[in-house]
Amino acid sequence: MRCLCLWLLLICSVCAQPIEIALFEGGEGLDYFQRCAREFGDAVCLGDPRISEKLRIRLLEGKPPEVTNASLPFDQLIAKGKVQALDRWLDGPNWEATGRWRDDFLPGSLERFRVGGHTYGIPLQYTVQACYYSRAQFRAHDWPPPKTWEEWVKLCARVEASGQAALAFQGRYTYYASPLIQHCYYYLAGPQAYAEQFALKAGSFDNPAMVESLTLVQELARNHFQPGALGMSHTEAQMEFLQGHAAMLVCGSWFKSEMRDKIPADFELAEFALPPPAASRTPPAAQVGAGYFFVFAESAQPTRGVDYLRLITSRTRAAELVAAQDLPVAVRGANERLSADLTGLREILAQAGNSFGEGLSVTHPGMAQVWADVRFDLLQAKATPAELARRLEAAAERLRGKEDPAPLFPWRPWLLLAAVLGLVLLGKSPAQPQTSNLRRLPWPDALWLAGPPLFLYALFFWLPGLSALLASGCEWDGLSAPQWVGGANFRQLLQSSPRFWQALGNNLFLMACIPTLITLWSLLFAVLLQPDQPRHRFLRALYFLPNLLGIGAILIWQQIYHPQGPLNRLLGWDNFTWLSQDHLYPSMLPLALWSAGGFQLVLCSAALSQVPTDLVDAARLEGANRWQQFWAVSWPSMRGSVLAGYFLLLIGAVKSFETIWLFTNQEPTSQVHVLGTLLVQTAFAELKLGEATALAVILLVLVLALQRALNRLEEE
Amino acid sequence: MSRLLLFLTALSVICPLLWVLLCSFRPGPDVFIDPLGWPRHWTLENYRQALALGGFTQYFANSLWVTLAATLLTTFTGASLAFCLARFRLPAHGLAQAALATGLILPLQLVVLPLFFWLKQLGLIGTHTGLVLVYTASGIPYAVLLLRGFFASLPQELFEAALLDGCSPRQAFWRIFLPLARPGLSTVALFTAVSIYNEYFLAFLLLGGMPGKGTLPLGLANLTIVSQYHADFGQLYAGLVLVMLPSLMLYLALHRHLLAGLAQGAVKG
Repeated sequence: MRCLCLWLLLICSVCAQPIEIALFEGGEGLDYFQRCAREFGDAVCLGDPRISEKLRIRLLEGKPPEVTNASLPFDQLIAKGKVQALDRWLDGPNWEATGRWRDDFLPGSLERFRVGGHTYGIPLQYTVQACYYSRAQFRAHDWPPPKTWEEWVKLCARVEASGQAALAFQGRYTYYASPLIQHCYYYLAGPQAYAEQFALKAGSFDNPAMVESLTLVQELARNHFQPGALGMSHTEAQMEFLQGHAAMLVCGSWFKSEMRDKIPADFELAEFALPPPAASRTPPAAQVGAGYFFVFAESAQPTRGVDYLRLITSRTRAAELVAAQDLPVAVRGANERLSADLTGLREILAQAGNSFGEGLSVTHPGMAQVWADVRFDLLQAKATPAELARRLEAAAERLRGKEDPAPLFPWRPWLLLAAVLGLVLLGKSPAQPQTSNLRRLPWPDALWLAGPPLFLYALFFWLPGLSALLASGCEWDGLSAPQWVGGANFRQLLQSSPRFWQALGNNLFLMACIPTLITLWSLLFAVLLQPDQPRHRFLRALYFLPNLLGIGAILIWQQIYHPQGPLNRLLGWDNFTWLSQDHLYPSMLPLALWSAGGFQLVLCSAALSQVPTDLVDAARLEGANRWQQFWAVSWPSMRGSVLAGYFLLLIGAVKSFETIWLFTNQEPTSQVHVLGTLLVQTAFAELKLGEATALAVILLVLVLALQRALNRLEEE
Repeated sequence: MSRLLLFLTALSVICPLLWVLLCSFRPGPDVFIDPLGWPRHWTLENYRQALALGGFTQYFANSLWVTLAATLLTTFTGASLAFCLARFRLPAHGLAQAALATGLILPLQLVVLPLFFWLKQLGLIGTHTGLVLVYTASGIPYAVLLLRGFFASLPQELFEAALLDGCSPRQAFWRIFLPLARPGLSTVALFTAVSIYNEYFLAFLLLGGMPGKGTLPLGLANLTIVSQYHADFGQLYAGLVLVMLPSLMLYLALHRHLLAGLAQGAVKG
């Protein structure tokens, strides 16, 4: 091992830097790519489930790796010239020099990232959507794999009659519903109309076929999804299926490799094609997607990156990938090596005369959010299919319109402004400490003592803070120079962004609940822990302890709230989804109390212990009850410190980021954003840095106004 | 009644921590099947995996270095600034005061995007040095807030005597006031250290992209995601225990001191 390390070090120091291959790491593992990298020599694989977040940051840093398959806004990046065009190599020989590289790919699979006559993305893994089941179980119950959607629904009812759930579903991530919707619409509307939807053609969303598709999916979800499925992550749902709690599961062909070690020996995994509605006249087609690889034009060695891609898409290598991971690939002649329990997938591919799927079509990025919301409301039955179709159509309409659309919220910005002005006018600026009686500090000492901290503080805090004010007036994507656009970012946020108002509302919820809850609790417990004795000091120290745990506290509670976790077990609430979109915010309150209550308790206790005891005694002698003693005597002298603590909590609620970010596994939906998470999303996922800084400026204004208002309260 | 309430609350603090500790010694799939069960097979496998596969030794070394460096820097620069503000009139005294007070409440989100590009220009993005400097800058307002009261409360005679004996203000600070401020300094250092040790947002944005540079909170967050993909949370429990252990030990050793310092600061402030 040591020898190997030394050897590697030697190579690194002699040759150029190794090329970096940044890979999304799902359940499939990276063995294949690492093996190829070793064969290629001088290449390192960086695997990570959140690789795209990291790459976004590295793109902005200007230091991209050579190769990646992460999901990034590649259409945008291609337009900015950040991605290497590959035609020169595609028209050259393949790795084994047996023919043109371009001819090695399944028909149509190179089309997705062809822009302006150039090809930018190389497909490798090919995913096929299918419905998985256990052949052993279906045989035992004499259940036939269905041929039409209607047969499928009947089958679900039969399964449920036998006392088992019909369909496991990966409901925490609503995009797992997308293949079902795509499937129904493709078969009901036909390939032509299906393609028009991606081109946002007028009427391609609000039509009978779309409403019917959404209805079919909604009814399937309502009647035949496993109870609690909407709170389950993909692996949880897939485990439910494999443990026999549900009979079927719809998933892409990565399913088997993702759950490799979890499939019971006698399971007899099998799959059938998602059955088309009986009314459909459309010939069978496979719903597929492809995993694309890209080379960054600005990486250190793009040419070597392309060579690596030629290696991993060579027929012999790709066949090894198929054999090792049991995944179809987009390389010709490699899929024969799929194993016996994936015969269903091979049949789907063999019978398909055509292919379709989101992965092969260019979705307008502006539709992503509305689709996510529509899927959520569809599954939760919060809206009717007709309403949802209209909502999609309206969103497409807005995207089609080139001219500025009418503001969605004409009056809300003014209301916000009025609220801020009100706070500012009601409030007052903090009292400045007297400085006139202090002596002057000679300048060499000032330079030595106050210089370094003020310099650091200005350089790394105020300078960026002030330049944020400037950046908020620019359109800026971090990849090219900012363009001055005046107040456009603010107008966009305040007048036309439902997400912004939703996030602000969520912040207001936290600001209203958390500080009040914690302060009331702290006051109560400060009184309960009143005589200062060792036992009480110990308890206070204990209550304070979770304040030191940071994100550890959040992650512990995420586990506690797990649908099959300890809390549900304790309460006997099976599969209650504490962290789903609807319950997330109330679920944050116990965590907030647990992890931040101790600090305020210590402040309150300290303030309470400063209250002169003779005053309290006097009040007691006068016949005041405990409540009167507290309210009339203790409170006035505690008020200052307690409000200061309250203010800190309030600021914490305005700035909150980590809890939401981690509770939602780092991908909040638009309903659960707070301003902090929305900022990160806007800046790094959507590369709208100007809009994100504008968001931060609004945050700042709110905080400053609040501070002024609280100064008034504290001093009265 | 009130005793019962106190007891139950204490239980609610201890139980989750105890649960994580127990889970960390159980094989991952066991927890999945029976989350509340007592461990039947005790194992250290989770720890081995967290340290070896999760890369926790690397994360730990990174965190240790960043935390130590930033804490020392924050405490000392903060102390010298607090000393100046408490005992002297500086040029632009009011401006400095106001800037520090606003820094306490300024959302980091405002600063972070321009800061990212600023660090990029300085060549400090993705480096520990950059992160340490940013932590220091954002920690200074808190340090000054806590320490200014402390320096102001030290007897004025001491200060006069030092100056009469020919000490320059600089020498008075290093020789006399800094040693006297030790209790305040250690409270500040502890709080700074704990908050930097747990910090996620800045580390995520300023180090997140670079392999091998991440601090423990990044490692932990990564582990939750990785665990999800493998439907096995064993490593995560072990990681949680490993990450929380240092803060808990420190707290057990110093809690009296820490809480007293905090209470004192609260009453004075």
